[in-house]
Amino acid sequence: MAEYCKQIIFTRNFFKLCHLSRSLKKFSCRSYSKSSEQEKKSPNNELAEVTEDENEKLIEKFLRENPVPNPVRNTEKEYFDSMKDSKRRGLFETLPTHLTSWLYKDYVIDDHTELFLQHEIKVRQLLREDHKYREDRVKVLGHDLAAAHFIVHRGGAVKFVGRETWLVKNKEGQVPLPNTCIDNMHLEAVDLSNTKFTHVSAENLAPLSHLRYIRMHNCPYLDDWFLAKLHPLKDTLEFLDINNCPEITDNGLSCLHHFSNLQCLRVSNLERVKNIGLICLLLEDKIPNLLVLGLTDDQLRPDHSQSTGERKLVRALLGFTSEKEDFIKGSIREKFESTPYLKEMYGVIKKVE
Amino acid sequence: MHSFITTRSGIFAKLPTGIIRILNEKIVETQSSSFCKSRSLSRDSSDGNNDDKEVSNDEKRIPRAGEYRSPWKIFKEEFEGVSTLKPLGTEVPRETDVLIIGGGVVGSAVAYWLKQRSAKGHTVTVVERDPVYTRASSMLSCGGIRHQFSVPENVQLSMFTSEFLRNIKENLSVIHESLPDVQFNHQGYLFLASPRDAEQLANNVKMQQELGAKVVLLSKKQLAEKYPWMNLDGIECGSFGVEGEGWFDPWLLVRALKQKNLSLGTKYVHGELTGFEFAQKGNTNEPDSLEAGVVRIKSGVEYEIKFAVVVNCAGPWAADVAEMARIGIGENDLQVPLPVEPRKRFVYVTHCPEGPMLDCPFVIDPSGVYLRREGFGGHYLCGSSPTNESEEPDISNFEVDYDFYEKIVWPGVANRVPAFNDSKLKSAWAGFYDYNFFDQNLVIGPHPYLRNMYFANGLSGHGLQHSIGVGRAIMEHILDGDYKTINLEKFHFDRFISKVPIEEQGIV
Repeated sequence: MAEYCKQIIFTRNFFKLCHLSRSLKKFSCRSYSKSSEQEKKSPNNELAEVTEDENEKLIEKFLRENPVPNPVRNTEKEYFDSMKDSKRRGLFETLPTHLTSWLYKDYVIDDHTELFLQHEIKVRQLLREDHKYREDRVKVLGHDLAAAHFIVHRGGAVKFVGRETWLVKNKEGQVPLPNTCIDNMHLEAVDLSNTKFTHVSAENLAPLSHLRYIRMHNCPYLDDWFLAKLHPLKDTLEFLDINNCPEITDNGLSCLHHFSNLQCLRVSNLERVKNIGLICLLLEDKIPNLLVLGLTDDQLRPDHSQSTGERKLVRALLGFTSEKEDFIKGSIREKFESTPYLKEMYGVIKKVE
Repeated sequence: MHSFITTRSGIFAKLPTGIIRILNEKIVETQSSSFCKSRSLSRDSSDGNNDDKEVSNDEKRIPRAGEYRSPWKIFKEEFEGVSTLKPLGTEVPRETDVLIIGGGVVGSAVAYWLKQRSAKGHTVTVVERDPVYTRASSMLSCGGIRHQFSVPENVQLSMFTSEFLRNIKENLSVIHESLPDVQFNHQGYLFLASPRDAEQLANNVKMQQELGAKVVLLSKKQLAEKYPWMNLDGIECGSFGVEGEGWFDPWLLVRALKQKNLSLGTKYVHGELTGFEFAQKGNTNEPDSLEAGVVRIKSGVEYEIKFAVVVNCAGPWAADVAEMARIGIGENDLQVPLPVEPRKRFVYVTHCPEGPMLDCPFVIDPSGVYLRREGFGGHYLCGSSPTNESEEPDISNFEVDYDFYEKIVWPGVANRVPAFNDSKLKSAWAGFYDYNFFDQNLVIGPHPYLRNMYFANGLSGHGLQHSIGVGRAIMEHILDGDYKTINLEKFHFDRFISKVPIEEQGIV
């Protein structure tokens, strides 16, 4: 009888063991060994019942931790639920905006005019990015040295207060400027000739406190916005030289009325300025001590008149007396030679050229 | 006939001449047979006229994409297109992604930003009934641009327009055309303040400087030194925009925008919007969204254009377009109308031989009179807005009220600049504001109920300087679902329902 009871208990435990993991084997063996040790019948039954309850709890816990998926799935509902999820990102959402714009653009590569236009637009964009005002450069060098580095590195020339030489980039591409901030080193004159500076460059010149002289020859990208942005220099600028800048128009020259200390303005070869004579006369009226150079008699004459008498009549109608005309015509050289500063600056111009 | 075949594509390109001739003969036979039928009907009964009317009525309106249309009519149009070199869909497209009502500076700006973002990704159609802009608001304005407002979003919109005009050669260049130039005058705006308004002006200048605008506050002494030709009686201080403010030629900006839009593939339709078609849901009686717009072109034919999004840029007539969409005459959310109406404003050109020349900014007087120089020959533009609702002029025509100049404008200008006592009125014109009589501010964004109708109107006189920023904001809301750069959510239509106005003192 004892052997028969042992066999029944073993079979029952072995059958349940198939549903459990290996970690439960010891527990079953232990209970079996306990039951085998005792000879009484009733204690064997009690132990078996306790084992069954614990096993069921363990089974429920196992199933709770590892749920069995429902075989009947609503795949369509799952799909639309995932599509509504805002965190989910589609394929095209990961592409940046400028790339999708570029992919959708219609480039005509067999038309050289289109290629030239795209190239010109790209050049302007790159120049605008390159000429931005950089706060980190100003922190290290100060406003004057930062502006000097900015100008000389891109082909311009600078001159400091108290020094006679113009600083330019040498043949090896090196810049003879210090890399640290030095006190009492103020920029006095800048020469932007033959460069590609744009209107963004004016933000580097605006904070300068001692700038007196600006020279702009053959600058194809300097426009009216550059002259308008030089407004902070209205108390210090004394000499302005503009030659062959095709983007300068009448509206840019009319911005120069802010410069109350301007002493000499030299303008020549500005093809897009329609009323250069009239604007220069108005500037002379507005700014005291201003001398305008570079104008020809044809530019001072109104377009619709052909004779001297009619020119005087038109100027009288515009409110100008003949004394100013004589001053402009006959007294330019005398005043020019009698002003030491202008003579010095003219010498500087000769040296640079 | 052969040359036409070679230029075509599709199955018709392969048909020989004989088959086309046979098909043409069949068309003639069909027409003659229908003619005989109508003749016989007229003999037997009096219903022949009705048949003729029905035939003529069928051609009055071309249905939109998705609606049935007789393939025989389409086939006939194809053959007419062979002879006239106008393929189907040339004049008016039957389907478009974005339909823009109004092709002025705001509509062209919206189209430009949508096309600039993705030129071939979506189709944009602009409907304009006045292609040469004889009555457009921006054409008949002074062309001023300023950063001096009292609402921060307005300052940001104007600053973005200045930045856009600064780089206009990069933004609006087109091949085989000269580089765009808007003749920008950098004279700046000068707002004069009386002692009562001086504190408000100082607060505005502080806010504008925090946003990055180059605006300076000038005391009475500084004003006297800077502008000796100005009479400063009753003036406490002034604010002057140093950089990026002034005036320019509106026509050059709109022309540059339009030719850029055409080069990017925008479709311009010369027609007038006459109504909308609504999308009917299955169970509901109330329409849920707009589906198509009905456009009548010059020849009298009406076309239905199916769209996904419609943008209302109709300017002073934006309320009429909104009423076609049942805004203001519907139920529940459609009860509130769009509070935009046309208001007439006059601009006077005067000549003053001794007036200020190079140092004349755009002067805004506390009385509301404004003054600016035009060229270098002594001509000036001046004008004012009426201070009372009862003084608003009649909007039925474009006639100029010269009494308004003699009584209001000239005394105001001469009081501020004494040299104008010796000035003469040369010419004048009248233009419309799209006046928002609720709070004189922008209306932008979708309608709360009709989510696919967008508003871009109600700019009340400063639309030209805000148009570029408004166009970009509409593009961001359509393509990205929200604003990315300047948050204009306070200017949505919701404020008319909740009756919360936005205060802006910078309305000139």
